[in-house]
Amino acid sequence: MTGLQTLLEEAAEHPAEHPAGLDVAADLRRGHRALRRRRARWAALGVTGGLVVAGGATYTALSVHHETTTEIQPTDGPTSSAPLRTTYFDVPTPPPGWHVVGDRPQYVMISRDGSDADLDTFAGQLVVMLSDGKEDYGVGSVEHFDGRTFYVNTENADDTILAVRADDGNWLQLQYPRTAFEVHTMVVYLDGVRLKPGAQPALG
Amino acid sequence: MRQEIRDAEFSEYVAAQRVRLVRTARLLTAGDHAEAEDVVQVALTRLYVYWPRVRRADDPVAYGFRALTNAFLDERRRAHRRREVPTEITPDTAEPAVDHETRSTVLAALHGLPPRQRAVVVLRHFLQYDVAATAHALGCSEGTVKSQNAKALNRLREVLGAPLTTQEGPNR
Repeated sequence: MTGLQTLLEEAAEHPAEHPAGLDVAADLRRGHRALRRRRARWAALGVTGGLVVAGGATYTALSVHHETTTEIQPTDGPTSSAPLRTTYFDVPTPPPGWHVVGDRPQYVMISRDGSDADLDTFAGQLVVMLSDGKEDYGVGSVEHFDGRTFYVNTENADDTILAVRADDGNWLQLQYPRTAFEVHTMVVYLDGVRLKPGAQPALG
Repeated sequence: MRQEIRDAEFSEYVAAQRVRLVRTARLLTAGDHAEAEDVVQVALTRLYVYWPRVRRADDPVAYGFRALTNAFLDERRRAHRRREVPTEITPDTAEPAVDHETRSTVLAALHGLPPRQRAVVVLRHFLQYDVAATAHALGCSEGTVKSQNAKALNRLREVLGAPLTTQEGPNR
């Protein structure tokens, strides 16, 4: 019999084989650059928001507000069971190891802790979306929960997309990495999502 | 927070954890040294950027390995989208004398596992995480960890052609 841990220890190579592996200064420099880029990006987002407001004189104040991006500051403590209130949606507390990145009128982005995925990176993330009710998202297998019908679309290679009718007649959808969660867990999660004034369906 | 404090704490963290992170990354990448170093750099960079969150975490060390695993899975996902073919395992030159045959065999076996199963094996059997901690690190359910672990171990037993012992108890 062979110990798997022993084999893995051997395969991982002994620390003595990593003489060049410790360059703290280089890691610090990379960190500094990344932090500067992140701060610059935030500053740019602020400018973009301002330009949208300035250029959107013909829109109502509400529609201008829809163009802005809201960043939810991640929490570090234990998650609570209370819903998280973003600007356009109330969502249940994300699963352990995940946090809300932010929202737009059409969706809420939820990412793994430690991931640098931003508000526009969809692959591999949990995404709660509001989609046009005129589209046909009632495809895939069916799950019933809480008196509602959830459609489970597994056509995508990596992600499953759940769909359920929202109170306003549009579709509420949840995209999630298929191998990361059980369907029922995500059905319960999506069932807990609530729309707020200003939420808008993505078209097409 | 003040940058000098962030720098000092981060440097201390790197000095203590980097070698272990690299070793873990080499298993995750099934022996691809270049990708392993990339993954470690990505993870450490994320840790620096989010350092205020890291330092307040219940277990900053575990947070780092979670970031490492996610960096690896993100990279695998990007590679999948690019339809990249995994590269051959190429050992570094001038390594000290070690059991290259065992290493190559194990790395090749890991190479044959899907990325997420590989991550489960590394977290469970190299870092010795229990099921709950592994599920937390991967952002999935404990049931998923158990099923992925079982599939991976079966595959490893087939490829390695030998029985494997693990430290698993009923709830590990």
